[in-house]
Amino acid sequence: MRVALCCNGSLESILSGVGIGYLAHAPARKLRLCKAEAAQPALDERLVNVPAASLDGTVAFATRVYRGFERRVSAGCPLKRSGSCPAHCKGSCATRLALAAANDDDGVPQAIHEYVRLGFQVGPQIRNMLSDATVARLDTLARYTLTECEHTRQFARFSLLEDGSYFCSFRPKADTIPLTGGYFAARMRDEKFCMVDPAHLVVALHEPGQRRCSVSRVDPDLCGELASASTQTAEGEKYVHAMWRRFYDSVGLDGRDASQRGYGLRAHWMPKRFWGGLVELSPEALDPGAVVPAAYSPTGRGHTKAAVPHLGQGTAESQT
Amino acid sequence: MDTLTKLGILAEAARFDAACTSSGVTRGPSAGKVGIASGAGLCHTFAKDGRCITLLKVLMSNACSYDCAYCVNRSSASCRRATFEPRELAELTVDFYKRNYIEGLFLSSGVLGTPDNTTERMIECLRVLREELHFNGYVHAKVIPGTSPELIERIGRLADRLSANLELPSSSSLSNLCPEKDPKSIVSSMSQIHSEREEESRRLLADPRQKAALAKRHPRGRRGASDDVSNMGLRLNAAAMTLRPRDEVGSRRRKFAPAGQSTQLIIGASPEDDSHILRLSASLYRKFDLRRVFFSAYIPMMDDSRLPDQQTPVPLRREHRLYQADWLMRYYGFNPDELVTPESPWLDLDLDPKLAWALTHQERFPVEVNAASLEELLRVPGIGPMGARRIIAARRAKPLTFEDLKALNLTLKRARYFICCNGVRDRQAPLDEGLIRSEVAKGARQSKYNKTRRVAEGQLSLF
Repeated sequence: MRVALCCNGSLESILSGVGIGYLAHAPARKLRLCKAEAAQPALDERLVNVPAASLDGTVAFATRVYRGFERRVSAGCPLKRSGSCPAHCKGSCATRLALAAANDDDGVPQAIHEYVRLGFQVGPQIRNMLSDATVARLDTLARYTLTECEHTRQFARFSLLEDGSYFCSFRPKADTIPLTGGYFAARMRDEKFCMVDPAHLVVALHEPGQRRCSVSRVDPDLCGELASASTQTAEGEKYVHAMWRRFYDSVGLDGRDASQRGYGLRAHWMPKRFWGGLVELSPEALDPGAVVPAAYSPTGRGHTKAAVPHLGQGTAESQT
Repeated sequence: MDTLTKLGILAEAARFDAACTSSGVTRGPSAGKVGIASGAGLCHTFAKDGRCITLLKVLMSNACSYDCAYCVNRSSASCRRATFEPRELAELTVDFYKRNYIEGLFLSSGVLGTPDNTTERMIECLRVLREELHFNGYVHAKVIPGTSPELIERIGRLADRLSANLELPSSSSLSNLCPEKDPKSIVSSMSQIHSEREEESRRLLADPRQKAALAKRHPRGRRGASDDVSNMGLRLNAAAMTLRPRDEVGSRRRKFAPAGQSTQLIIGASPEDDSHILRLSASLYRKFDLRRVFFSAYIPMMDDSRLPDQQTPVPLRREHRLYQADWLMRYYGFNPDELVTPESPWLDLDLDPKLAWALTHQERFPVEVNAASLEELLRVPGIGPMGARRIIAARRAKPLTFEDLKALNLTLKRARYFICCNGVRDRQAPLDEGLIRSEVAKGARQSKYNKTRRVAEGQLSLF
């Protein structure tokens, strides 16, 4: 009889499952890890849930497995030695577990299970086993998450709300908000902002001056309530959206589009699933609204003219 | 005129400039400042033509007093004119940045009276941006030909990257199409930027504290990241894998144009061939340590006897092949003589330059993937900077087979003709050189891109 061990898809739960398999002396061929919501037992398989422990207990157990794995695979790691590991994880092979776990793919628990077992078996050698099927599978999952992180950094769009904070709702195909929150905190260190991922029910909140965001899992109701905040935009925000849309529409060149190439370069680099959230492609952004922010009004910026040297010396006159 | 209208005019006026990268400088967050700069750059959106938009690329003004024949903003053109106020543009940049639309500002301008007058206005905009709005993101500024050295020095301390556009590949074409632009002044600007950066390097390297910090930064020596094959499974960005010697000082410590300088050449408006252009690029990289040479396919918009006819197709494929050749020079260790010769001075439009080179140098293949050096692997069509390093990392664990190469995500469709694993060639690849040539070339010529361009360029399709 084989066992399919069901976990909830988080890294803690998956690593706990791996640890349980180890403590139960279950051979790899007799044990498969799967996500509870996608569990589909084979004919000779029995479904077993990862025992529900307290959150602290699960995290402590998972941490034990993670640290053990890290020690085993990171000996001699050049990234550890030079201190250049992007996640300061002391072993990049352990970092990729977290990246793979953030992937939405249903095969993630088993891929991590196999990878961790292989790491314990071969040690630091796993870093060079790029063509091994187990390593290649995990790398594929981790790379996909990294690509989604890049998409989050590229295509998340913020709007200014009435209370002076910024808000963004973004639906990636991996749980990227916890992984990219630090990037946005660095980018907007002195701003208050909120990022919501309705697909993974994750919220990142940032307070001015903080180095990091606080990331929380929320229930669908609260997530929906937060997402509705996007409608309470600040006065003049429509004008900023319209400016961005105008800029976007103005920079494209005829004679270089998809009909001239045989393929759509824009859709290639910017997947269509993100287009709905992009201000530059939103029909609503064509309307600048009734309010022009003071900084952009022809009459509202008397303070700037004195600061400009040599105005009017050229052949052209400023039309402001 | 409100900002919305101005933005439309001045963005449209700037769209013919191809350069739009935010790479080359890494700068972390700083208390009280807005933004960061990431070395690999970040594309925030893509225009309808597929070009990346990473910066707010606009002109300060399109009211230009010069009358360059190819330019839509030339003084004799009847277009709407507008000029940004320095603070207006600075605030616009910060507003867009905070909404995650852009990485920073790309500031260029038509010549407002004199080059110095224009540059002073640009400097004022950047001063407000940096000093009053505390913007810490990326700024690319154009150097207007003929600007005084003092102003170049000032703008270089506010911008991350400077670029002086050569515009046309020869001084004769430049004097023919842009009579007011002096080729010598463009080259002298580039030379000044290079000298200032060299001087800054010398100063930083002479400082004992900086020296110790730099030694810590480059523990593996001068080539640094280019021969590093650690963590290849997760690397996504090949930007750090150029074979050119890396900057010893790096961008973080520099104050003057930390992301270096670049230039742009317009392709197809003048008669120079690819050989001339590639040799010129190589010489610019060598002489002025340019970060990039950008190519912009000329789009016929003007009716002028000095320019190609308005019905001339946009030389998109030529631009594409020149970029590929440029990458071969920077990332693969090719030199222009290997790609074009005085006897055949044009790149093959149907074949990418690396494939074309491999087909004419079949005596160098097949390459044994389990023993080849990085340089040899980089010469194989279908193996890029990332793939070559993945092979080197993976073969440390075991000798590689064709099945293993598939797992490494290489473009085996092309590479299989030019490699062998443990002395064995791919079963489906022919051994005869003539057959390889016809099969590979046929495959490349039948690509959707080549077919579409042949039709657009008015060539008859043979297939």
